[in-house]
Amino acid sequence: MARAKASQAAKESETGHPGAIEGIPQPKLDWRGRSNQWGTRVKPGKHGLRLGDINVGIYGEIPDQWQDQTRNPRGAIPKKGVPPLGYAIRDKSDLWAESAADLYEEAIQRRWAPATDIPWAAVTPLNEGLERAICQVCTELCQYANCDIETISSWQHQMAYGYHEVKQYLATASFDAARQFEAFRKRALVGGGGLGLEGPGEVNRMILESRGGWTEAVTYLFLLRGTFTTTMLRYLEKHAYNEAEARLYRYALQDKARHMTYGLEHLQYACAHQEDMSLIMQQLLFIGDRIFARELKDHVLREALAVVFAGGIEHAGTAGMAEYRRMMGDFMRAYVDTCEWLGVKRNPELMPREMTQYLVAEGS
Amino acid sequence: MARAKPKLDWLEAAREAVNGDPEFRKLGSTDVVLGLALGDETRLVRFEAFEVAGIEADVDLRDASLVVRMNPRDWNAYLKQRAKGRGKSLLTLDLEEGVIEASSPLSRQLLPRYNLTLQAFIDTGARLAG
Amino acid sequence: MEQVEGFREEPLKLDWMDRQGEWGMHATTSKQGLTLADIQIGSYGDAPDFSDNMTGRPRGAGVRNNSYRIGGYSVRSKSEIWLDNASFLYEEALQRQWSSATDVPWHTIEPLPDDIEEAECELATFLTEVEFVAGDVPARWISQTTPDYFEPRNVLLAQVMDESRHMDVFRKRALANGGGLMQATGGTAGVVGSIDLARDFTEMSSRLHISGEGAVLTIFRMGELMAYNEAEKAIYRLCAQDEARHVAFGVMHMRYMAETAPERREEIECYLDEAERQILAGSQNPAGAQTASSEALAILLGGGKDQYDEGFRKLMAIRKRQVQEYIKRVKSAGFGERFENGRSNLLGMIQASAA
Repeated sequence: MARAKASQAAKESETGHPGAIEGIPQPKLDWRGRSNQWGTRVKPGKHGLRLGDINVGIYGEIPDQWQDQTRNPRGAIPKKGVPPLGYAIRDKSDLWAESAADLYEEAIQRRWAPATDIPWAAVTPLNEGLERAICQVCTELCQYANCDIETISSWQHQMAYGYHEVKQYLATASFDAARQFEAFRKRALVGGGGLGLEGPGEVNRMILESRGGWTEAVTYLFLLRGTFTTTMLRYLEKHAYNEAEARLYRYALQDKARHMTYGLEHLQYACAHQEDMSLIMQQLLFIGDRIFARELKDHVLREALAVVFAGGIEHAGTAGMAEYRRMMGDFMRAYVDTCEWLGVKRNPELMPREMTQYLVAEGS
Repeated sequence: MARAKPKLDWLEAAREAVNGDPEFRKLGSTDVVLGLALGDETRLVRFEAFEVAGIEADVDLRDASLVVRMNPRDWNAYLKQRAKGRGKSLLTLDLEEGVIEASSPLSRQLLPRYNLTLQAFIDTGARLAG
Repeated sequence: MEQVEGFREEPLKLDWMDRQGEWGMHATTSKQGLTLADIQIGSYGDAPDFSDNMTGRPRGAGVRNNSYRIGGYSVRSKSEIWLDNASFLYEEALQRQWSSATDVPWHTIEPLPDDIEEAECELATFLTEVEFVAGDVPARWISQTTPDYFEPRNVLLAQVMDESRHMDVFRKRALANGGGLMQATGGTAGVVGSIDLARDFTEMSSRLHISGEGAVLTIFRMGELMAYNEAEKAIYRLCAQDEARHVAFGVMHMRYMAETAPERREEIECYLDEAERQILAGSQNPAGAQTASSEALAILLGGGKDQYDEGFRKLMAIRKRQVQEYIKRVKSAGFGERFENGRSNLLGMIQASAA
């Protein structure tokens, strides 16, 4: 087809060489023949043609530091004299996760649209206490999603293009958060309720105020808050009252699990490549736990979850709270285990009582 | 009383069914090796890209990223419930009974990450198992 | 404490139930499902003209007096960011997501003559670079925007997602057919007048959406003229679909701004003056004068370097079309007067080229 097109154009052309016609400037064509690696041919596989698949030869060389502060694509020949744009994050250990490219592709493959993929008609009237509690929980999840959006968006543009896989993955993560923001809002407004009370916001502020770097933000956003949110979503899925809620929580879990995968892999990479990162994280979590514990003292989310788990107000103080304690136990065990796995030593005696109380066996 | 044997004869049929189902493909790409440890029987189910790439019997489960470990009676009862459109989701079953093993907090994320696909495969199999 | 059903009872306050937002909402689905527009009911649909939401609460949520302030939001006036069809654009973006890995028929790419493949790769290198801007800059503004305006913010989040996909698809094209990435152009440098350095959202949007992305959209729409296989046709078609939404955002926002903040009209006219200086000459336009990407385009349009002149003529037609489409957009945005009162000389340029 290309040859036919070229042949046809040649017949239509009045001359055989460029610039011969008056008014048509002579092209420079100085860009021709300029490539760091020519002859690259990547074919699609079972997954199609993925971002990671094109990391061949020099295009797959991901240096430990990326000094180029322009928008030069990795592997392209840079243009000299381009003013720098001031990308603050230029060290691989400050953002890398080996699976970033695959997570990016997976995020696109596993896309969903709350408008049409959730069977909203399945939401039927619930008792008022339960509806208020579900709406309260959805409001808080909406606010967590807002925090995700603001945090990721404020860091993503600061990352150098030598690590485009991470930037691209984070674009999907912020889009996931946008989707969760609207989906939880929709649930609150579809069942005869409305939005609940806003959250206390201290943990949100802590996450957003992570000035030390993206790794610090990841520690708070994914390791601490992310483990809590995914645990909560697991319990909400168990206590879904209709197919709409079940589907919503399952989709949200799917997205959040990708966030957690990126977060944990990045923290693992950071700890392996920065000498004192595990100590730094220990410090960060010492502070973060206290703020998280202060927020746990706030009764609103706790009570709302208890009502959801109990199916209404009547047994919320008993069976509901018992399920809440199980949820918190699962969260704390996952959180502490993950810290240990990362090589971040946690001493329960130095952790806030509001958190460690859930590490005690149930019933005692 | 004779020991129950886990129902596993549906695996190949389920594999064929989902591999030909555009709705299964629409769930997205899945890359996980799921181990089934059901009494004395083990299976490996390899999910790759948009299909179930293979099923292996009587294998070492060390290759598995996630392992479902249940006694055969409970497994069969679970399939029966799912075939009727009832029964807990895999997520809830794991939450309540701890039936899914993962080697690390990172591997643990595979269950929620692929929950829709894994559930779709098991539910297809449950219906075929009758 | 009382033992009920074997559980220790905890007393509940439940006072939060009296402090929630407006109650009794029954959003209903429309033909498009349950969209953002469908949940703009009661007070939840009221985006305030000015936002004092500094705690990041969802619009309409009950207020706590002791909630921590998190928002250093610089975008807190509705006229600064709003557009009337934001919900529609966002929902459309969700429905029309595509995967460059599987929705482009990569297997249809076959070896091309060297000059064509080089031109493809140079253009792909440029487009990858240009999409970097469009991904970075909205992200910065998203984090600056109060959640009270989540509808336009969600459209921008979708744009960041779209641009990420565009970066990826052009990089893939460069590496799929025996070529490689070539010379970067530096055309997206952060110099005065660039998209990066805008200090106001509308200023940024006029440069990014109306001017920059508008020019790129025209190129994508002409994809049939420069595609050599079904894969490239699909790439241009899918990218055009996304880009059209981004341009629509810019036009509709500018229209809203013009209607609600007339005191800013002259300021916006200045942004458009600047955009018009850039539109044909600027290095961010792939069809801009004498750039590597425009030369590559001419080779693709002509069918080879030996048909450069033919390609250049087609390129000129595209540049004319870029200007025409830009003019239509600006008129739609409510600033058409500039083409009649002599402020803009773009119409004159088109008429002169036709003569």
